[in-house]
Amino acid sequence: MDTQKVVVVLLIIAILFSIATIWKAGSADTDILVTAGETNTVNTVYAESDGSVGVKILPNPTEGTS
Amino acid sequence: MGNDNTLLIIAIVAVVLSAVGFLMVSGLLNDIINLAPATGVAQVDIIKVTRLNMAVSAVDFDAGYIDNPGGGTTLRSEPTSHIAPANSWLDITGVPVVFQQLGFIVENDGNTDVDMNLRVIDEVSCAFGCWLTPGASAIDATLNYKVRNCGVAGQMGSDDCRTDASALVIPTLSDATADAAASCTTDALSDFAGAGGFGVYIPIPEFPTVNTNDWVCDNFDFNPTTDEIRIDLELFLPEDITPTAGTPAQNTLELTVAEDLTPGGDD
Repeated sequence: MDTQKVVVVLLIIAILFSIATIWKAGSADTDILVTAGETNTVNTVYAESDGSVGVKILPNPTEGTS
Repeated sequence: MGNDNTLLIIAIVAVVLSAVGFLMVSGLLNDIINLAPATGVAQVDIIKVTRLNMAVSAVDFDAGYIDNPGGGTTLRSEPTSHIAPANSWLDITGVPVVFQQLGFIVENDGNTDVDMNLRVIDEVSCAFGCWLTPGASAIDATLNYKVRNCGVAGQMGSDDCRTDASALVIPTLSDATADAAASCTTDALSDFAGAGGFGVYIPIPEFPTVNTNDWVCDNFDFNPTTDEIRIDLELFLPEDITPTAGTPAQNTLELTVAEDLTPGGDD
């Protein structure tokens, strides 16, 4: 009789472990670790851009005509 | 009695197997017996790149003469009061000149903030001072500039960096997102510190090379919503100004915006 009680307790423990296993398996995290590398601090491109401003001065046609 | 022992053994085996299974799934077994985890690593390196793009790169005040005896004319690369006083910049037929009214539009197309310098070189390889020769009045031409953040309506006023009320065609900018806030900040090292801030004309630096501690903006942002500025020019021509002898038909200044490479810059 005592042995049967022990067996029942052990089976209950086994069932609980199985339930915990199933639960844990369903929520298990993956073991794939994705990391971003450190930003390269070497500046490889020098930024520069050109523009221009232009003007052309014409002679004043009203000067020296009177 | 024999059956009881058999059941007991089976139960013990079931408990052990269940416990081991749980420990394996939960990772506790690895901790207990120090197994290495099965881990893969994906890595990416992002390289800092700086790139400045002048979407509008030419300001052309065209050809004309000054019709304001005793004074001069002020030409600006913006629609509002682009010729002052009115009718003082005339073409050969006596009609007010219609010229480019868009200032430079500069984008930071890189992936990092930059400090930006401005340098000026004229077509005869000297600084701005020899661009145009003063006449009898000895009054020199002056060139001022101002910076405005495209995303700050209070600085832009009726102007814009993407649409233009005067029906001028604005080139398509690199990113499709219009700015929503300031791209450029000003501090003690900026040309605009103490000059009223952005949106105010100040004399353009007369340096043929990138000048230390003299930059257009300190920390020019690169984010798509804060990476555009507009640089407008204001050219004053005294009435008796003349083109420098020996220069081509049109006097041209080259303006370069460049990343600041001095110590302390955002390199």
